[in-house]
Amino acid sequence: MTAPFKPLAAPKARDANEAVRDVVIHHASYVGRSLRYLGVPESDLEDAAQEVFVVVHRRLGSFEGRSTLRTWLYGVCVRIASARRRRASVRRESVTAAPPESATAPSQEQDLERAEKRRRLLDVLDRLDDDKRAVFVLYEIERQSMKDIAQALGCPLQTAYYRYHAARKSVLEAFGMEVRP
Amino acid sequence: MTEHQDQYQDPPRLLELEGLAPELEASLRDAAQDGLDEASVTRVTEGVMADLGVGAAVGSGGAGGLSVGAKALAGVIGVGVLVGGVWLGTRSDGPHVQESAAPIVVDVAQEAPAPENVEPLLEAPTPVKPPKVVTETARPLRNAVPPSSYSPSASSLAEEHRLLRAARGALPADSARALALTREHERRFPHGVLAQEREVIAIRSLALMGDREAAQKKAEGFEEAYPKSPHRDRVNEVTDGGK
Repeated sequence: MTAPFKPLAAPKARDANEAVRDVVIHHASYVGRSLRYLGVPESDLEDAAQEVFVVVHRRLGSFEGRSTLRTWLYGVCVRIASARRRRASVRRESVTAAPPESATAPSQEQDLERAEKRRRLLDVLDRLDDDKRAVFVLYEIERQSMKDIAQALGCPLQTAYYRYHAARKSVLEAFGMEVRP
Repeated sequence: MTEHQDQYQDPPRLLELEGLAPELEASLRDAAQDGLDEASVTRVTEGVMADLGVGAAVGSGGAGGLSVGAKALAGVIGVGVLVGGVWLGTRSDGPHVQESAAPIVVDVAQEAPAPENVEPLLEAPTPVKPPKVVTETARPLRNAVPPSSYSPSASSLAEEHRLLRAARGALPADSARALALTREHERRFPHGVLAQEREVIAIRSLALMGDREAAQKKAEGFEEAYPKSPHRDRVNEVTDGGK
């Protein structure tokens, strides 16, 4: 007769599972948005968002609370997006001349317009290097403060300002606007 | 358009400027609302729950608001985390948003992307030969705490994710293959970010193969290595039900 299993001491699983789910639900939408505008291909977006939360879950023991969880999440998003962009770039080069993937197929005229605007902005952002793009996206789209952005990216505040102004100039020029000091 | 660049204050955002190109203005306004839709949030949530091996069907929680318990907890500590401090680790006090704190460095190193060639084990058309059913020594999980220099990259995490997704997908029909995949993960990512998840799948595989003794020993090793793991409940379920 086999020995009975000895159960491990169990935490309150129901509460724990609910909380995991709640954290992801609460943060997933903007995580996906920031990943999108940080350059993750649309087809990889949900997968990348899952990666963000798995990494955060694993690393939360080292979270020292010096910033908000949201700021910390943005830092993870930036790094995962950067790695994903490089992989996507390698895939495109190996296939040669394959165009960047487009947004999901819209079914109505408004959706088509929105998709085209998104595509236009993403094309402009694609021309920025990762560092400048990250600051621009977090400041202009995610509306984080420069201080929080510097913290998320692990760079000095002055560096964040510099990158932002460089990115801003590039974006304005891409949309046909002249920037005068 | 003239800009006043003040180095010491956050500059006005583009949408606050007059004379912005209409196309850019519209793009930025749309972008601010361009988060994941409800269906995507649900899929991401379920994917994360599956990745972490957390119980799937707890309540009906869709892409709605926070539960009352989680809101209260979030209010106290500034982040939405688990009861019992599982996500927090040892931290249990309120948020500390320091004005001049050093930036947080998240250890997701920017490395060269992993090669695209998939490990043969993942694509094997022929079934993996099942190992002999012997008592597997519950090796102490000495690797449970990775060396401080270990910095998983986003690409290696993606590889871990793929391996374990394949392992999980092989259950319950082909538990031998699932076990083999967890061993492959352990070989390639001894300090992997998803090491705990791997162990849970391995324990489940052993239980399904009928090797209850090995599953029990592995479960005890898991408890010793990860005493605060959120997966302990899942391990309990497996060893209790042998499923």
